[in-house]
Amino acid sequence: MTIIELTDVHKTYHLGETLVKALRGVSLGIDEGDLAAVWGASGSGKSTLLNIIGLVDEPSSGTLTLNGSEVGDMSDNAKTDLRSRYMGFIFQNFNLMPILTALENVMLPLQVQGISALEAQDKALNSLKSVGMEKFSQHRPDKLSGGQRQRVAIARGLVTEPKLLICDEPTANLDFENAERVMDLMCELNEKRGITFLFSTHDTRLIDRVKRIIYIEDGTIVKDERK
Amino acid sequence: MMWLKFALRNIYKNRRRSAATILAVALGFCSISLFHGYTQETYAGVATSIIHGGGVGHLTVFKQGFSERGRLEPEKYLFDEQEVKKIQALVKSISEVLLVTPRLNLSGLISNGKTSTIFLAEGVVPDDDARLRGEFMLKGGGLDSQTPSAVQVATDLATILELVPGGNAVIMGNTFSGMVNALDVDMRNTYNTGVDATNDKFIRMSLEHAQLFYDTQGADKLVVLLDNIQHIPAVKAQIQALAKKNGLDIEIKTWDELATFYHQLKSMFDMIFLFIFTIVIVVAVMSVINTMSMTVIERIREIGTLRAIGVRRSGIKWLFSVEGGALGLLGSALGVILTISVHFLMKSMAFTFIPPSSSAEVTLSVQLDIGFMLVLSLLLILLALLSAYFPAKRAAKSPIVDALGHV
Ligand SMILES: Nc1ncnc2c1ncn2[C@@H]1O[C@H](COP(=O)(O)OP(=O)(O)OP(=O)(O)O)[C@@H](O)[C@H]1O
Ligand SMILES: [Mg+2]
Repeated sequence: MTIIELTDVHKTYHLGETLVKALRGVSLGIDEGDLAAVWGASGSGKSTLLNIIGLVDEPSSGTLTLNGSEVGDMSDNAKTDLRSRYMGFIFQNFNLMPILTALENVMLPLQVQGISALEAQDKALNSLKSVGMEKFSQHRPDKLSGGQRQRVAIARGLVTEPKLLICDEPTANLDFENAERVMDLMCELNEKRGITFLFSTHDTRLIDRVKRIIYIEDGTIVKDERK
Repeated sequence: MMWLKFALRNIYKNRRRSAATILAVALGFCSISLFHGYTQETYAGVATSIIHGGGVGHLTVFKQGFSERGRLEPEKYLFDEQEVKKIQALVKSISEVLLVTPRLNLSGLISNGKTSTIFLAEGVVPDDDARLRGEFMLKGGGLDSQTPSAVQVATDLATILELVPGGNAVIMGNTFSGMVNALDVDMRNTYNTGVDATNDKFIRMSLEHAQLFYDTQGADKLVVLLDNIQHIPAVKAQIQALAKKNGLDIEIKTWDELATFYHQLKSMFDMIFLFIFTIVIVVAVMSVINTMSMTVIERIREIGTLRAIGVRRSGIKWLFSVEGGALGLLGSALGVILTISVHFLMKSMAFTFIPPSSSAEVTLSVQLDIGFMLVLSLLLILLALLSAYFPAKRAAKSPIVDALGHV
C-alpha cells in the first residue's frame, strides 16, 4: 500500500535574482514497509525531497497525496496535525530539546497530540527500550554521546507509531561504529515491526543493507532500484 | 502545563540572563510601587492637614446658592438660629458624624487707633474648633469660650497694626440690617495662614463675637467632622437625603472641593508619577523584549523541530509567551518582596525631614497599597507576555525548513 505519492513535483528556490531548481519533476511513491534510501551527491536535492515528503516544505508545483488525499491546499494546522499523526522525523543533528531528559524528549510528540503525561511516559519508556536506551531515560541530551542521542531521537520518532519515519542523513554526524548501530536498529525495526523508513545518505557503507535505493541527480530521480 | 515546565526550565537554563531580566522587572516594580506609596502617603498627609490643621473639616453645609452668590449677598444665604439648630440635630443623628459646628465669616475694617486696614475673619465655636484641630492646635492655645472678644491675628496683619499679644484693636463694619457697628477685640496671639495673600488680612475669633458684629444669631455654614475620611460620600448622601426630607435647601461641599491647593498638588504629583511610571515600565519591558527576542533567535532550530513533530504555530506562541509571562511574574514577585522590605526598613529607620512651608518634622514613609501592587503585577506580567508573543509569532510564521536549517 502506498503511503505517500508524489506526482511531477518541482521545487524552485529563489536566491535573489537567480532561481535554484532543487527538484525538477519528481514522481515517486513510498510504500508501507519500505526501507528506502535516497542516494545522491551533495546539492542533488535529497533534503528538499525529504522535506516535501515530510510536509515541512511545499512543492512549487506538482501534487502530493497522503493516504489518498491531496495535501496541497491544506491549512498549516491541518498539515501540522498530519505530521503529528503520520510522520516521524530523525534529523542529522538529532535536534533533541536540551532542557528535557531523554524520556521527556520521547514523551513530547505524544503530549503534543494531547495524550496524558502518564500514558505518554509508559509509551516513551517502551520506545526507549526498543532502541536500547531505557537506562538513560533520565539523562539530558548533553550527557549522551552522539550515537545515544540519535537512538533517543529514533525513539522519539517511533513513539507515535508513525506511518513513515523520515531521516535526513541520520548517520552523518556519527562515527562508523555508531552509524552501523543506528543502521542495525533501523533494519531491525523495519523487519520486526514493519516500520517504514525513508532516509537520505551518501554513505556507501550503509547502502547495501537497504531494500530500495532511489538515486537522485540534479533534482531528478535517475534510478529507483528495489532489491 | 507542558509549556510551563518548558518555560521554567529554559529560564533556569539561562539563569544569568533571566536573573538580570527578573531583577530589572523587580527594581522597576519596586520603584513604581514605592513612589506610588509615597504619593499616597503625601495625599493622606495633606488631606489631614487641610481637614484638621486648616479647620476645613470633612464636609461643609451651606445654604443652596452660597457658593455662587454668598459673597455678594451674605445675609441672604445665612442660616438663622433655628436652621442651625435643626441642621446640627439632623446631621448629629448620623452615627459617623463626630461634630457639627456653625461658622460665620465676616469682613470690615480693623484699626489700632492710628492705622486701619481691611480684614477678613472667621468666627468659630472655640471648643469645637479645638476638637476639630486636635494636634494641629495653634501654638499658644486657641480661642476660648470664656473670653469671646479674644482674637488670633495673622502675623503680617499684626505687624501692620503693630499688635502684640495682650493688645487690642477695633473692628468696624455694617450689620446685615445696614447699621454701622464697631467692636473691641483683644489680641490673644498670632498665627501664620501659610499664604502671603491672606496673611495680612485674616483674623480668627469666636462665633459669638462674630455674630455680635453682624448683629445676628445665624451662621453661614456648618462644618462637619467625620470619624473616617472614607465615609465622606456616604454621609454626604445621607445629609442630602435628610435635608430634603426636612425641607432644607442646602448644598454640601467636601473638603477637597474647598481646597484647590490640594488638587494642584495632586495633579502635579500625578504628573510626576506618570512620568516616572512610563520611563520605568519602558526600561523594564525593554529588558524583557531584549531577553525574549534573543531567546527566540537562539532557539529557532528548536522551534523548527517542534513544528516538524506536530506543534502548531499557536503552540510556539504559547511556549514563549508563557516564558515571558513567567519572567514578568517572577520579577513582580521579587518586586513585592523588595517593596515590603523597603517599607519596613524605612519604618524601622524612621527617616525624618522638614517639608517645604512647614515647621514640623515629618517621618518619611510609604504606604503599602496591596491593590495597586496586584494591578502593577498583572500589568507587568501582561507586558512581559506580549514582549515574548510578538517575536514568537514571527518565528512561528517562518518556514519550518528555514528554522531547521540554522545549525
Ligand atoms: N532554502 C534554500 N534556498 C535556496 N536554495 C536552496 C535552499 N535549500 C536548498 N537549496 C538548494 O537546492 C539544491 C538542493 O539542496 P538540498 O539541500 O536538497 O541538497 P542535498 O542533496 O540535501 O545536499 P546535501 O547532501 O549537501 O545535504 C541545492 O543547490 C541547494 O543549494
Ligand atoms: Mg541535505
